[in-house]
Amino acid sequence: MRKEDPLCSPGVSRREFIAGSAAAGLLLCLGLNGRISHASGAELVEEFRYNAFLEIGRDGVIQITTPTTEMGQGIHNSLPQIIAEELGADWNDVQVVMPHADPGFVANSTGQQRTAGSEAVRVYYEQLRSVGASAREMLCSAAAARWGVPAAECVAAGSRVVHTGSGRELKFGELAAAAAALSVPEQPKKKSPAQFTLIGKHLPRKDISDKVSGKTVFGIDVALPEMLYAALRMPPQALGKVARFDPASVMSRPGVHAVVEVDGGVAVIADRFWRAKKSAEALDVEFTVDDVAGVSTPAMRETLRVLLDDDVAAVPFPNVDTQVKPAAYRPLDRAITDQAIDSATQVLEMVYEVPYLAHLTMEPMVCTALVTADSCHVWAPTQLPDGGRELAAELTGLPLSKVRLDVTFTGGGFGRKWEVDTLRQSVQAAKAVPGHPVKLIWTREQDVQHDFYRPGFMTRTRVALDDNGITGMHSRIAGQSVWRFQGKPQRPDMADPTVAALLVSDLYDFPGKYIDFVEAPWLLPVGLWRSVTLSQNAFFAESAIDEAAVALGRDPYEFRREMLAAHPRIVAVLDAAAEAADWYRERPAGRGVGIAVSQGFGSLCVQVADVVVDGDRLHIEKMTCALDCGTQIDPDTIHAQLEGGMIFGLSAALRGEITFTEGAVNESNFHDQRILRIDEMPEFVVVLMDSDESPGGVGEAGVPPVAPALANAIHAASGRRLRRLPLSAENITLA
Amino acid sequence: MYTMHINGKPVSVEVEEDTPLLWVLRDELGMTGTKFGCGIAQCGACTVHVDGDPMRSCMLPVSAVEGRAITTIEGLGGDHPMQSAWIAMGVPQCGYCQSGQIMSAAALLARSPAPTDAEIDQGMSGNLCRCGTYPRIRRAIHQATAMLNKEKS
Repeated sequence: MRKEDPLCSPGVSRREFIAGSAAAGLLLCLGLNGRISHASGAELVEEFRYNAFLEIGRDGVIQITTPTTEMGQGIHNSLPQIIAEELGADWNDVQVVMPHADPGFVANSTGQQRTAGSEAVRVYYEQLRSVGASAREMLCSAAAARWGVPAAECVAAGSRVVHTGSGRELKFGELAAAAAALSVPEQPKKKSPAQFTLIGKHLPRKDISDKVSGKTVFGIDVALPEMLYAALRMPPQALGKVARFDPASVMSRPGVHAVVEVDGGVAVIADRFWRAKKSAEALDVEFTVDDVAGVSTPAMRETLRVLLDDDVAAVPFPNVDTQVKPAAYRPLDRAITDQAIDSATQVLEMVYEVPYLAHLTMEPMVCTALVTADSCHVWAPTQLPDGGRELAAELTGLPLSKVRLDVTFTGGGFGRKWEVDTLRQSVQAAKAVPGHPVKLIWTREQDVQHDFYRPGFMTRTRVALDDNGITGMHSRIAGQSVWRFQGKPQRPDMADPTVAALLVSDLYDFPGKYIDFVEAPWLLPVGLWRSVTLSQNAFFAESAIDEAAVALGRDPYEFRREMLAAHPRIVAVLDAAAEAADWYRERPAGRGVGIAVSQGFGSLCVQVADVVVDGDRLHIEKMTCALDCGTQIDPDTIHAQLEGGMIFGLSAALRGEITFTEGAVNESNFHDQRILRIDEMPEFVVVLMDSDESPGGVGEAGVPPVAPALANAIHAASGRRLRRLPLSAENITLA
Repeated sequence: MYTMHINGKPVSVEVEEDTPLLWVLRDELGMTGTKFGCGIAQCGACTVHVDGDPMRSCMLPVSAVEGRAITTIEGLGGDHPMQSAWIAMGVPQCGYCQSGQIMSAAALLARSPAPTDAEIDQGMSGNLCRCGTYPRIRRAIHQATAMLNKEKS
């Protein structure tokens, strides 16, 4: 019996489930809870098997649990691929298992089991290599003992151990039991990159057959005995609350089991979703006018503009030196920047603006929960399994050991499924019908109108120039603090990094850099959106650099190259992008290229947009993307992430915008949040840089340069500088 | 009681007449390959074939499909040329929209054995993908039709 089975039969206790596996034979289990450990005896197997990363059965099946959430970014392959490499596995023998929330799956470096920050490969890389290498050494030792030869003469490849001298070989399955009896090596020897046979190659995807056949079990597809469905009635306002509701108004409708208040609305629980949804719509309910009544987009924009004034107090953001560990925070010297501005031969001052943005995952928010007298089981498409499990324990009053959270395939995350609001509601609803799993599904309208939005921001940038280039840059950003909304403590000497970090790029070599932040006074629900800080700040920073180049009559690519000369790795990416985009080609009037650089998530990304502009009509011919993400696990996955990241960025840059009237979101579905369609695609070119450096993040890296590259290209093509997103707000439409 | 032919088999369900086909498939019949995305026929995640035509099942009341032949992603069999091409081209990312994408592509193929890019634009622009798999979808459709036409000739 394999570990995914309890997903379909929650009634099976762990004890029974393990008994089944123990009967299957001895197992090699490597759990990971800060350190690698294992067990060989049947009694010990339970705990270890429960949180095992790797299990090699006597049948030769290699089962690898992927500790993070697969939401399209490809970790269902990438993370197991790392273990398989070090292990010497035949990829065909590998089965990948979805994770549950468990301390055994946390990343040592973050202390969390989370899927965020494009970090899965980065934070698990060494940890997973150690797991694979330990297992390989144990298998080799077991084989060596069997043959009576030194372990150093044994190598593992293709799910076999081979004795190099004699050519004798044994399959992993034949060695699993004996290997399980050995102790785990203290310092397993990892391969050198030159020895890699799987890392760096595109391997067949373990999830793809099900994904093209409709068999993948996403959060919305969880099906359980006795399951009920819940639909919500939510307030019109983003943070409205329930004032009163009358359950009797819908209790007699067909299939309705219960009507219960949950955080953020009222859940109607019925035997079918459609019945639950119709009853929720018919419910007699009133909502309170909340704190954000009176918050409307035109007034918010006016306020942000005022907050950019010099006489408003602002919180500085320090220079962050990530070359040292832990990162060092040094206050930026305002005096140097002010002096540069005072003594400049030319000062540019620009105001840029970006809107609130919704995540719009294709799978709407959903979660299933089962609460009984002494247990709670949650099935969640979530980016935060451990936090979700802790929340379920808190809501039910159960000890953590009585709460299980299984992670399902996730139909897009982008930061939205970092939030546990739907999980909270599903547990609250499930408490009303003990013994029944409750699958709570949001409508698309609820998703659009009750998101945790990327905040809208306005930024004022002053650039000091002399004849040779930039001597100083001061950018002030105004908008909501995500940390404030999340309840994180605020420091008087450091602005919220999710807002202010990288507002002035720390890559470029010029002396005076100053960043500060003025917080908007309203508290709309805001959160993390694919590429977080860089989703706005790459636009602000790279637009300003471009404007400086133009003001000095310099080529924007060469201008950047000169200021990046101290960073040869970035220069190489910059050159690769410019070359692939044919930067210097003569282009007819109305056509132009724009370039943008971003560094984030441990990767370096440069993009070039090639566009034709005719009045308000924009045609994007080509987007070129060069990326240095260090060691590549699967280049095909990286390629897909970059292409997808660019399309995600284009949807936002062109048309993404959430607006508010009296605290309520005006948009409601895909007809007024029009993400790009297949007939609106430019050509995409992706260049991946070869590197043996540590792996960098990929999922978010392709998003930030899109908007500035596009705006810079539009300027090059037309002379028109667009400082506000989305471009549709400047009347730009796609031709 | 409504009776339909789903993937070649007669099926009867007892539901309210306004119940969309999508929820009949998912909740009554346990066929969860067809996805809920928007509820207003704007995203295509719920695309199925009704008498061969691609339709958005989220806005199609069960009463409107009485007696009609419905094909869902489960009915394509797993080795449909589009499904094979989707695997070969590594199309899905999160995968949530892909049932609908493949159903639209299969319907396109049935109408046009070698669709042009313009026909792909027309046949596929009702299907949204938030991960941005569109370039691979286009390549997969071309690959599937190329393979089929090669087999024929």
